[in-house]
Amino acid sequence: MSKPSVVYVTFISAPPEKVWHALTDSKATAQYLSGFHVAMETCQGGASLFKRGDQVFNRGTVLVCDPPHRLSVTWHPELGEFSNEKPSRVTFAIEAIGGGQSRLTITHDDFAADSKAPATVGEGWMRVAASLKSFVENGKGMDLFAVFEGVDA
Amino acid sequence: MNAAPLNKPKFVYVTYIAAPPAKVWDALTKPDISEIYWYGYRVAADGKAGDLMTATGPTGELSHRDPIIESDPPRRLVYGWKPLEKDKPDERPSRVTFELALFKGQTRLTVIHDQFDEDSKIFGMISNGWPAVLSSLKTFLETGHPLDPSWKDAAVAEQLSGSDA
Repeated sequence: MSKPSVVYVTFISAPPEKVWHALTDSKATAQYLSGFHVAMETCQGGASLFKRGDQVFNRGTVLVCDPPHRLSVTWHPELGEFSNEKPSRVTFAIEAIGGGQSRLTITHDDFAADSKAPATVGEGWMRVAASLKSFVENGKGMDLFAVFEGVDA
Repeated sequence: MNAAPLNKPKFVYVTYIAAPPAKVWDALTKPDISEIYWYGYRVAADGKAGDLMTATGPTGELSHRDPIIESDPPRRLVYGWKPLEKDKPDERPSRVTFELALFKGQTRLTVIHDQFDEDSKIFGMISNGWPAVLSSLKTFLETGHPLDPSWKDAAVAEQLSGSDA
């Protein structure tokens, strides 16, 4: 039986460098994550934190950092039902597809055995991808994240 | 004892678009709009259940003439799917379902494409095609411009060969 993975593909009207910036620059991430942001330390091996203000919601480590084409980080929630599972892995692959455009593929895999996370994380990545695409293309992120379990909107 | 699990291919894609459902509905059903973002395909799907959805490709070749199964504007549209182009595999019709929901003033669009046979070749084509079409739809409704279909990378073009989905 194949191991579960969650894959989401989106096409973006911007070159890979711009998509990379939106994924890795803390100020940029704050523009489309509705009050959350990503704080990434040095490229390889550093921490990649998903935060709201000072509160850390996800404590990842950068596994692969190959700008502007490939970013792979561990996914390890600080809160909720998956916080006690071994970290899983999220990979952002960015390909140039001509016309100054990119194809972004988000793959979430390497889950703990019998983890229920694969059935639930997809919605979040769809929202990240949709809001990131809007932000990169027209400067306006979407309002998709105000409602998070356990978080005051 | 349980029956063997069904393993028929099913494609599901969700995107969020900064436009109201009525705008998304029009873009999905009116050929003058689809032609702009659906890479030249004129898709006419604004009929009632029992009417036909038709689509013509960029060269004017008839691509689809499928039954509309359900139509509940601007919330739910279901039609059959059998590509008619000569170079497409001859398979039994599959089914496409669009679900549009208002989400904080935006639209959550879900596309479900199912009822394929297990060994369907068309399933692989549409799995590459829908993300390209729906990404272009979102870009078009949010910026006024579609995505540029002139993919220069041959490998990507190969993968996108189903983008007339």
